[in-house]
Amino acid sequence: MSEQHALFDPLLQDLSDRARDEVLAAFSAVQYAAHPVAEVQLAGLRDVTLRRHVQKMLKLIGRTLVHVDGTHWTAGYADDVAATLTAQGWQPLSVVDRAVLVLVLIHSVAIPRSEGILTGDSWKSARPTTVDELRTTKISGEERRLALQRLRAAGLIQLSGDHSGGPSYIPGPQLQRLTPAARRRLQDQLILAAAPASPIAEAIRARNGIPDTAEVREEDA
Amino acid sequence: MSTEAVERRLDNALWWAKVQSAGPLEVDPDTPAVAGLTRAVSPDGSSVWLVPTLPSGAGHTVLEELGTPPVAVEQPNETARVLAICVTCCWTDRSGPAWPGAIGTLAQVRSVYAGMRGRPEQSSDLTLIIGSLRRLHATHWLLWNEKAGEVRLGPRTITWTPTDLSTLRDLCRHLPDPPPAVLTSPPPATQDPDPLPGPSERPPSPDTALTTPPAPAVADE
Amino acid sequence: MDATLLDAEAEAAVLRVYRQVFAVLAREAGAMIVDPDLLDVDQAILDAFAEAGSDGLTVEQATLACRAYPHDLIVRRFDVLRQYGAITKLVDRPNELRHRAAFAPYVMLMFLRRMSVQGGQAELHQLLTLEAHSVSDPGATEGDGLASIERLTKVFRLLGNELAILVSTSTTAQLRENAQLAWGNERLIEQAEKVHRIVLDRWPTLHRACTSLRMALAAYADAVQLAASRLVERAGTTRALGLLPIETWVTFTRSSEPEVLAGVLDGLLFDAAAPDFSPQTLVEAVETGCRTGTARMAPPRPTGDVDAPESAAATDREELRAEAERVLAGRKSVDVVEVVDEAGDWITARRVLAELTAAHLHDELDYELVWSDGMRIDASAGTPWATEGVFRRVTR
Repeated sequence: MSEQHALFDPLLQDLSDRARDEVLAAFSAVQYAAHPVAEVQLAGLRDVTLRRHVQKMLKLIGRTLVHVDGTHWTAGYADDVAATLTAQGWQPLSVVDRAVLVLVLIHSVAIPRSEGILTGDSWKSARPTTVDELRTTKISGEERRLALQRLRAAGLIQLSGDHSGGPSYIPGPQLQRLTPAARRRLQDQLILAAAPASPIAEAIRARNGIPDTAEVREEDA
Repeated sequence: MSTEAVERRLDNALWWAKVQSAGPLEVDPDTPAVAGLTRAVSPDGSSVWLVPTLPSGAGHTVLEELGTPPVAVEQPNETARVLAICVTCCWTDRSGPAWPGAIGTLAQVRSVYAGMRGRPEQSSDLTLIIGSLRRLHATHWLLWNEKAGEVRLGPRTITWTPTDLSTLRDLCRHLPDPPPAVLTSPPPATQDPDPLPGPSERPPSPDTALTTPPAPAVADE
Repeated sequence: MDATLLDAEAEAAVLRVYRQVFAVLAREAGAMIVDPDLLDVDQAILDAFAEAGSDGLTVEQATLACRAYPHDLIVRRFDVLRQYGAITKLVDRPNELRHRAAFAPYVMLMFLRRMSVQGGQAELHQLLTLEAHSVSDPGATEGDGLASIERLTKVFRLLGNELAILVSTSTTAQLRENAQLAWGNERLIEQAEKVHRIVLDRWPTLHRACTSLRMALAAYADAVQLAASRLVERAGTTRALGLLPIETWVTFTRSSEPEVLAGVLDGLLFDAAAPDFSPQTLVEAVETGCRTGTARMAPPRPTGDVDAPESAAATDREELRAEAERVLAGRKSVDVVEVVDEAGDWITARRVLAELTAAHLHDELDYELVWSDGMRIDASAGTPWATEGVFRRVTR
């Protein structure tokens, strides 16, 4: 237990061995577990002081804690970091992968929202997107298949339990890593792209035009 | 904190975020060090891979204890077997670290695979092996040059500790010895592993590191 | 619209039509229905009259024709419709049992159903088209133009008022439910402006009435924007998606280039796949890979949202197809138990089953693997026990 870590050691050195273990366990869980982890499960999340350490560790690597359903935690990109990188053109996900992901989000989340059958306010959904629904687009079968494979490997989509009509997909656990600002950004951009002339789109533009009403800080630090 | 320190922290955070969103990055050797990102120097010294490291007590090992699994890997066992076989083929000098190792060939991998199974090669083995090689290449555990049929260990293997390496030494003894490698291309050619779909690991120069990685072309229908 | 309805001049005649029309909404004489399913019952009764021809129907014939519904319910609705004059005796005499139905209630029914789907917007579009048509008519008078402008002014005032009141008094949930009031408002306003333009060109003296219409339109547009802003403000981080009609999403997915779809994720970053392979994982995988022997595990089944079981050729469609065809050997379907026995040892069987599962899950291959609950146990077989099921070709 003594290897040096240039980035985290300054943060961890003042902690007791036990606190250090709790903080590292919580950090690992929010960073690498596929799904959000329950706050009650980990001292490093339950204890506000320890959680603050987790948040500080995450901040060093451009991440932040994301609260899910009020009971779980995960980690996602800090808003300023995502903004800086993407403004520089950094986007490792290919066009086809992003297009296929967006199609799944529309069929599994946006359309059920319009039907009024989704509760809650997240990008989670049990409504499967079938391959037929993905087939209606200008992406070849082979490209789509590879994209689905990559998106699954990254936890951006997952197979739905319903295989009755061949495989079908739902949004993956990684969507829960989006911060509130990122979730809203995704919502807004989806509406602006699908119905740019709608009053809703106009309202979104009006809201975003106003000097940003300080995005509510998710978990404070 | 001094302005300089603030900038260095932000810079660290951006590099970490890049590595988390694209996987280990191949950069110019002149790129300044980033705290916590290990530098895996390529065999000819022409580039450096930045690979994230964590303090002991953090990382995936914690997940199992917590019962919070990471995103599932497709064909996890077959993929792990093929990685083990590549270690056997590419880690020729087992008195030293595994990275960067030597070049192995597909013929070697197939031979060890059949030997491990304790039977002659079957027709389905090849597709299975190729699938695993691609998956391991996409996640930087291997550098797989599909055209040349040659494989090297990937930069992620630099994170294996001395304890890990002794476990792997035993494992290599357990597996059949690979036949001698017959390379189809002179060594320098292996500097350019076959780019596969997925986050590109094309070496960005330090100045262009912040540009969009090339995305696979989109076919018209 | 039907000229006979519009031309009805005598007050009594107008009232009679109104009573007929609203009969379908009457729960009993003097009260509004509370259960929209009653509309189905009324429609069934009126349908029966349409079928019956000029002989009309007796109550009993009506209940027989509508036997999908409870007898008493039909009798009750029949009575209500009769009280409102939607159904009348064939000949007005004491012992007459046969009845006939008026057509107006049926028109109203159709109208109501359409209103309930779109909140009346489709009807409004049609109404606006009719108005434009009638004010363009060479025979139209200035009085017609004025009447048209005044009608439209009132419609848009009512629409705007309704929205404005909703915005200021109702909860976000109520507002969201009424979001259709705001849908497609641009086309409505455009159509109204067209009528306005025609009228103002033909009869410049009507500028005062036209100004009123312009104000009503502006107020409506403001109310729409106000409602949209409030909905967006309170919609959280995904709920605003529900404010667009489904067709908008469907059109967007069908007509957009991949670049446009991908652009939705501008500014967002996601994690790359980063599986961990610890040396211990490698050791365990190799150990199980070397193992030979008889079955210890149940055959893989496609379950839940877990990943597809290991398959030897999931990355190669043609390979999977070849394996599937080899197993089928020209047949349409094959029993899983047979496949297992054919394979000999369990290691091989497991691999074959994994490939069949992969073929089943492959989105471009037309095969399916269907498991049943049975189990074959045979100590002498290479794989002593195997879950029953079939692998077969399907047409998608």
